[in-house]
Amino acid sequence: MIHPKNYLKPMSLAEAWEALQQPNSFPLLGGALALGQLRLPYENIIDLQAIEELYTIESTDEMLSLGSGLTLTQLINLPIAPSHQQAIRRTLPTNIRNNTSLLEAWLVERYPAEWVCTLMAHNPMLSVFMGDTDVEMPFSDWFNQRRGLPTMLHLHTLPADSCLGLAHIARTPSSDPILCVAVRLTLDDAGQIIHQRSVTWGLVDGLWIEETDLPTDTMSITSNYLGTANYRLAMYPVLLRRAVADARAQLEFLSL
Amino acid sequence: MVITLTLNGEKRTLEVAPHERLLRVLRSEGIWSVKFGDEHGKSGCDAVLLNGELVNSQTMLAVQADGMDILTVEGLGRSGALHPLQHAFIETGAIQSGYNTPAQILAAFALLEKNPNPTESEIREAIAGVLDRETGYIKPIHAILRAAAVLRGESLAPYEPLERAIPDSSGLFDAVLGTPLDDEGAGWHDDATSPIRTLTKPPALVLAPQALLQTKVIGKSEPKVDAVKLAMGKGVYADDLEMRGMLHGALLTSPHAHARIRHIDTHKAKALPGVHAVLTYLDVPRVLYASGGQSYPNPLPYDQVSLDNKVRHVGDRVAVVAAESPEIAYAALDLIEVDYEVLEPVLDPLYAISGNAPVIHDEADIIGGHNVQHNIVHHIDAHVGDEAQQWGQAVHIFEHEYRVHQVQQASIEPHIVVTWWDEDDRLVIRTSTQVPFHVRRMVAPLLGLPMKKIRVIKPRIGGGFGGKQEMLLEDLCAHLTIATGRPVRFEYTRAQEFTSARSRHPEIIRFKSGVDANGRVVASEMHTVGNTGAYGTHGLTVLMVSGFRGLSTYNAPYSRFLCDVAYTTIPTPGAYRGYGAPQSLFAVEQHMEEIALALGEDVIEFKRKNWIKEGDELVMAVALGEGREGKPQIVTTSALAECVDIGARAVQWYEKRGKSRHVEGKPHLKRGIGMAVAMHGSGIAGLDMGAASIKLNDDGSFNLLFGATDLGTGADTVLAQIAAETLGVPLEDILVYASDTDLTPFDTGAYASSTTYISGGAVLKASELVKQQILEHASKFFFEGCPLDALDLEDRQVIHRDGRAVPLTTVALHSLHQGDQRQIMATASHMSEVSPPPFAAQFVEIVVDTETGQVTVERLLMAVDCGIALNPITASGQVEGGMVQALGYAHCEEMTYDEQGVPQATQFGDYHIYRADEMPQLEVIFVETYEPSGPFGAKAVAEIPKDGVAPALASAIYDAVGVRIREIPFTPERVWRALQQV
Repeated sequence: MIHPKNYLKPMSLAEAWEALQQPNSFPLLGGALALGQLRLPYENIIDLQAIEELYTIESTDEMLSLGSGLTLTQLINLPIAPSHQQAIRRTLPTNIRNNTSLLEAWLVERYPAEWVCTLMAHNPMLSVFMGDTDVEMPFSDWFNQRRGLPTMLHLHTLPADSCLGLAHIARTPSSDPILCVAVRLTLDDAGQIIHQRSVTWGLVDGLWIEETDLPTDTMSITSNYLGTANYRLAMYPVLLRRAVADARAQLEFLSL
Repeated sequence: MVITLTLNGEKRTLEVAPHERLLRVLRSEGIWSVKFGDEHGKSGCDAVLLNGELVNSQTMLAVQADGMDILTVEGLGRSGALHPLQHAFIETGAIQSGYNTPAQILAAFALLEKNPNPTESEIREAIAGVLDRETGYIKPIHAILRAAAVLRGESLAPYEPLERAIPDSSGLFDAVLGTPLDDEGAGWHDDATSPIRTLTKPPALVLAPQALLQTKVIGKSEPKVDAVKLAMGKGVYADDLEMRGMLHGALLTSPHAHARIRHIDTHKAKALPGVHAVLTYLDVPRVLYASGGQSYPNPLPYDQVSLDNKVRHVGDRVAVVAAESPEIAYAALDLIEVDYEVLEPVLDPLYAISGNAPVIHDEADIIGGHNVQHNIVHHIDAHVGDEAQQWGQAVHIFEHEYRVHQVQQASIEPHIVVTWWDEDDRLVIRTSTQVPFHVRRMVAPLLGLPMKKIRVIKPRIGGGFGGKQEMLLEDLCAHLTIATGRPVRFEYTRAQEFTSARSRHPEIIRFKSGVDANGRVVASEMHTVGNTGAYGTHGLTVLMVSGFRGLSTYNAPYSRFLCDVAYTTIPTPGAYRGYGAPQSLFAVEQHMEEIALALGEDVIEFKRKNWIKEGDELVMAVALGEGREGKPQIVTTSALAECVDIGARAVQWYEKRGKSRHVEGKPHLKRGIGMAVAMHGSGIAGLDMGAASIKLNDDGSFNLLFGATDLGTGADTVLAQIAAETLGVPLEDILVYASDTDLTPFDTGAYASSTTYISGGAVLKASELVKQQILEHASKFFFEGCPLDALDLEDRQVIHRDGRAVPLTTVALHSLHQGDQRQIMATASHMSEVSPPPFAAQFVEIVVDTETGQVTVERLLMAVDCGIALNPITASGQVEGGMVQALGYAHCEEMTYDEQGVPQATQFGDYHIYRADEMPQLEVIFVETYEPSGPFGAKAVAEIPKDGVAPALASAIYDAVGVRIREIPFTPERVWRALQQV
């Protein structure tokens, strides 16, 4: 077991990138989730808190761009879709939200599942620093590989015909989900769904994105003490229906 | 590294290591209010305000705080000038053990700084990250609402429970009319748009006997005697001290459920710089013992040794290390090389005792155990009555099987011990224990020390719930002090709390009952297989209590308890608040409801017809003592009928039960209401003993010393109230010191709901003896030798019935300095041949999602007869907190294992404890009786709240969706599967 022996506090992304190339280096921004899950050995802690760019907030009519150093508390206090707020607030209490950065929430092994599902359904763009270049990519692409250092999340404002919805099953109102589904719907003028993207956590290992993933007979369904594979499979259509209903309800609410 | 920060307004420059968490650095600076609860920050008791925001100091590096401003409770208020939040927490009884109180106060402070007029929902959200295992969150929320009002400059009425006289039976229902029970949310406001509902009611309703006691201290909601220091976050817990040269202990635990240690190599660990001792089974004497903190002689089997060459569950002891820092100690654990011969795990108790399973205790020197070759540690067969005659009267026979699971006490303070040699070369053990005197007696032979060479001190405890009625770390820590000569601090990690501490026994219970033509239960048999895990410890006594409680509420003339207690290779269950009763009451209450429904009878009326009543003898009391023959017991007081009737009225039982109801606009959400009755005990008859000493001081104050251990329940306060009432002084004149084997009289400890009833009896006797001495002295020197019955103690005076009075301080000074000089003091002991049962009716309202099986609990109401509630605020806190723990048992908490016996939930979160922002509405009604054998009419209150929630929840699920689920917890999948079978 090697406890971190070195603490580095880079002032720029370039410095941070260089520091992170050292073996056994751990990027830290916040810590409320990350330090609890820290799996040693790590020799170097690279504290990103002094990098000002990571705290930027830029807002236009079309887009809210957020530095990845912002905390989840700061995020839910911004004018973002209610599903994001709901997803964060349900399981993460104030003291955790206050010291969890967006970046940290995406990097930890046990990420906040409902919010990441919501993000994946929303499918924003992400600016990722790769050492010598900044790359923009869909959040979902980055999340599948988690390479590079995300610096900005670009949450586009949902058009008037589009909305997010969320549904979950848990033992209690605030406990971690057994299964959760987030959807993004786009409706036509008649209220028919013309596009649907759903992201599910708790069905398979990792996330299942219905728009892109194809269900197969060999899909290995998660089964553990919180819920068997049979139960999860049976619940998936229920939650998908509810998430869609939630999205529709939010859309109706916004149109009032 | 050097960092600079502002700590409670003062600039500090600190040298820290890169890996050091802020929590440890703050504590090393003497900031004791910031506590360790777990490694993940999920408990929240480590919270501080960092630049005004609530964050967890355990999940933050100290270096991250460089240049920042930190506020802890130490910076909020001082003695005599408490912050309104601290004052409100004291006033409302929001502080039980106080372990998480500073974090709750800081969370509230941060909220009120931003929002001086918060809704209850906002308060619940603000404190949701600070887990509370004790209060049910009700009183902390009251406190924050009141503090907010004070800070806004509003004046408030005193915080007192509503007290009413119990009317005669014709007016019984009207007793609750016009009370807050019918006045939804009166006095509070809420944010209707929040997903969190307003749930908090004003303080408990107390319905007292017509002739209310004319007392001044007893029956009053006095603030806890330790509340101020707890609100201020002073260093009062086991871990709150620093000693020069202190080492840190760490425990290497087994990764296997069942294995033999073929070889263990500690050379590398010992060679690590900073390591002072590494101990394995090769290094400590093999002395067999039982770890349960029970009276002498501890019940068999003696199947444990400090360190063994075989491991019997994941988390079992393998080796211990003492090192200069926790990091070095844990690094040393990684260097210990263990060669295991892995054996087959045995997880199913039925398989364990089948004769086909491997023998778990195959050691030759085990002492006791019924049939260890078949993993049967105990076999109990107890019955009363005429079997043939009673079964012969039965015209209906019903048989059902119920299963209850394993859950953990999860006190927020982990087990923590500090040991050192004192200046007289005596070993001092400062430990978070419920049983200091048992620990001293039990640990001595393991260490090879005479008992007189050991002193055990119990400081404040951050919650116990039975989990600390066990000697778990004391021997290991002491072995390390003996090996090194140095003070050693030893604390379980949170994961070790789940794998290496204790838990509730799982049971499989088959109930069979016969009912006669009049609907009376004439015969009951309870066949149980209990799972005691790897070691026997409390296996015998918990299962005996389980049988006793299961067969006593309905007290059938023929009753039989047949039980096997199995060894398995799961982490060892032990004592947990309720001690066998929650298991058996889950079974019997459902069983009776099922019988009533099958017979077409009203559930309450069927139970009423059959439940035990005043004057009835508990038929199984003699056959099922705790590990020995019990004492005959007759119910002398019971308000069970009133509890049921008043509770039913309060929840509108008859308007709701059996009516198909769903949430408006959501036909898949069905409403249900359920109930259960409960009966518990007040100490262990003929066994529990407490003693107390009282000494009069020069100024008329008194030192009260006793061995009883307050776990946060308010026991110290209630015992002081008994003394104050008897001695005619206000509570502040009673100076309490408790639980130190050198300085206080003996007490068996805090378990079996015994403290108020047993230890309180001792305090009452000692107080009466001291009172007698005071009156004798006063009569002789101040009242011309008048008869003592002409004198009384009141308002700090000796008062003659003719109106003359002498201040107590005058008598005190005279007795010490002027005439017949002597120390007025007395010691008294108390034990009881009876254990008068408290009674309760538990009601639950829920919503079931018929598509997912998810159950949402909306309301818990308990009406309790605990005799006279000596302190209604602390008593109601016990009920509120107990109900929430019981809800966790029924609904969401669960210790589970994979096929190899590896625990799957070893952190908070995975093991979910109810948070403030998801609580159902909680209500408590006391329906008082006057128990003649108890101090000032008291019976017990601590454990009965654990008994009724699970069966009432089962009853409510049945009411909502018509399915009977005989196994807990009621997880979404379990309920969904039951629904699929309809």
